[in-house]
Amino acid sequence: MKFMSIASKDLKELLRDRRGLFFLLLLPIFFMLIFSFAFGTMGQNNEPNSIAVVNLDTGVTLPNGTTVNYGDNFTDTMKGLKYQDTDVNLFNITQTSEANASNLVKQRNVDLELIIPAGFSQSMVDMAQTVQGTGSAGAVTLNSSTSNVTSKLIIRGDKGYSGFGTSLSILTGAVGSYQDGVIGAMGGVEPQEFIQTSVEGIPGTQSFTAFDYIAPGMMVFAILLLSTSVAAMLTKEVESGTLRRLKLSEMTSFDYLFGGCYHGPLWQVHRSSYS
Amino acid sequence: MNEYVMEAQDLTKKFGDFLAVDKLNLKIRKGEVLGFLGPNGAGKTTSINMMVGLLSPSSGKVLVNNCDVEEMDKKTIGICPQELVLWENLTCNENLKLMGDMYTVPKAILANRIEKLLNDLYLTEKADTMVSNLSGGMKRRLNLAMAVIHEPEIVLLDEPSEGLDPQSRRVLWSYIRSLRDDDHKTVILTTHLMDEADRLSDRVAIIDHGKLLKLDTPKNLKKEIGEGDIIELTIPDTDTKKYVINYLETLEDTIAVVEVDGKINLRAFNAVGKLPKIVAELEKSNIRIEDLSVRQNTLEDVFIELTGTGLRE
Repeated sequence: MKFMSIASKDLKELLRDRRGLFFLLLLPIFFMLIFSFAFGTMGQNNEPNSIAVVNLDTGVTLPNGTTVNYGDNFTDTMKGLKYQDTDVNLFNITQTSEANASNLVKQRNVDLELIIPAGFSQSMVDMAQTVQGTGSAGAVTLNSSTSNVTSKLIIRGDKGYSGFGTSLSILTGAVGSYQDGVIGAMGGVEPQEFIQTSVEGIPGTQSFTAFDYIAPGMMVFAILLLSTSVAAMLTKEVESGTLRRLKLSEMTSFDYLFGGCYHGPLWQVHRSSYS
Repeated sequence: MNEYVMEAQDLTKKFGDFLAVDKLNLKIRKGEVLGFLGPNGAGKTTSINMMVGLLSPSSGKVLVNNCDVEEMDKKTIGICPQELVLWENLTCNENLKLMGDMYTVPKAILANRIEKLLNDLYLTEKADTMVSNLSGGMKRRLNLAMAVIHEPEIVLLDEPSEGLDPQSRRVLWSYIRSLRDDDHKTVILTTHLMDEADRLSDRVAIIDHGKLLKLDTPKNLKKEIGEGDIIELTIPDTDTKKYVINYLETLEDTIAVVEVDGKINLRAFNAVGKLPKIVAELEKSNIRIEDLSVRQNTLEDVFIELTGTGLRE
């Protein structure tokens, strides 16, 4: 078990070399920054997020005879949203049917699909009446009138896809802004819940997790770092002459290299955690 | 029992057109300390590297216990290199344990051996001290301990006392003697300290330009190469040195006159008897003598006689 002695030696040397340790801890962060600039979205993240909107809302006729469709209103509002201090839209919206929206998600043409329920407008009107009637803050039940009247927006997508996560967080923020705007127009007090959202996975994609998508990258990253770490160790041993001393002993090349790699997992876990 | 533990037969090494070692024939006896001397670049290290199997010879071969060095058990030889080859971020104990593990020394035996080595080399108190915090002398002693942790039959010490203070040197010399006398090891010692070679070696091999010039006991070498006594003269005026050397060479029974480190060394029979005559002649020529001493021939005189005084680097 000579490789265990080599591994133990390497680990002790690594932990006791404070300067080396500092750089070892810093290296993954440095790599992360480089990789993020090279392949990530840093510096160029002001791009519209593609989403599919399925508007099932049929609208509602108010007592004064005017017809409003809060589903269309919400969709138009989202279309007009822009990144702060830029002319770039937050969303690139494709209005389509529910079946086509799912296909678009599966093909990753869009990050997610947003389904606006049929009674969305009615629920908004009910909400307005409730708020004006009570005039106080508190939880408000939105499904008050009929069983099919709901303000619950359904967001569907591939939960393991990073684009889904990004678009979901932006969309949630947009829903919150819209809700604030509507309440402001009603002159009411903000209830705790107004427009609800429900996040669902698209059938067939739930088995994939975020780990499944980043695992290959992590493995490549770990191999890259492992090889650089063993090479650095080898160089140090050659320079100090200790490799010659080891070669004179009964140690084999396998013992040395396997021992060098063996102590690595601890560091690979640390490094991969950044990747 | 085989008398010779190691034998070099027509050992030759060429680096391109440069002949580093030229048909070296050398037999090393079991249980002796062999001093291996030579100027810088004489081919010592190349010879040693071939003898321990680190370097393949261009021609010739090395036998260790009558087996080719390539097939030798790695435990047979322990090498203490000239440079300090230690893991600086490990303690003395950890360094020794690592090398013991590399030679597959059983754990129980290893623990005892480490304890004894640290004790013999006065490092017990530093057992758990990181090597980077040791003094130069302590590192040297640990460097030696690393070479013998597996109790090799042949121990090669490459300038082991380089840069050591007299106290540490004596500890080292005492340990080298104990390797021969108590543990019956064969020791090959390369050194530039003639005093060290003289004190420790049973036989001395002097090599130059890749060739073995002499191999004998220090006593025989001094007797054979450097008969007579040495008169050392220090003449401050460099212009008159040549005149003095020429004069000394004309004296009866002069064996050799050489200039070493600014001093004129006259080796001659009945050197003491010649002193009044030399002093009178130099005074007559108005040449001032700054220092004058008479001493017995040393191994260094033999070395200089055989290899000359010219720089090799």
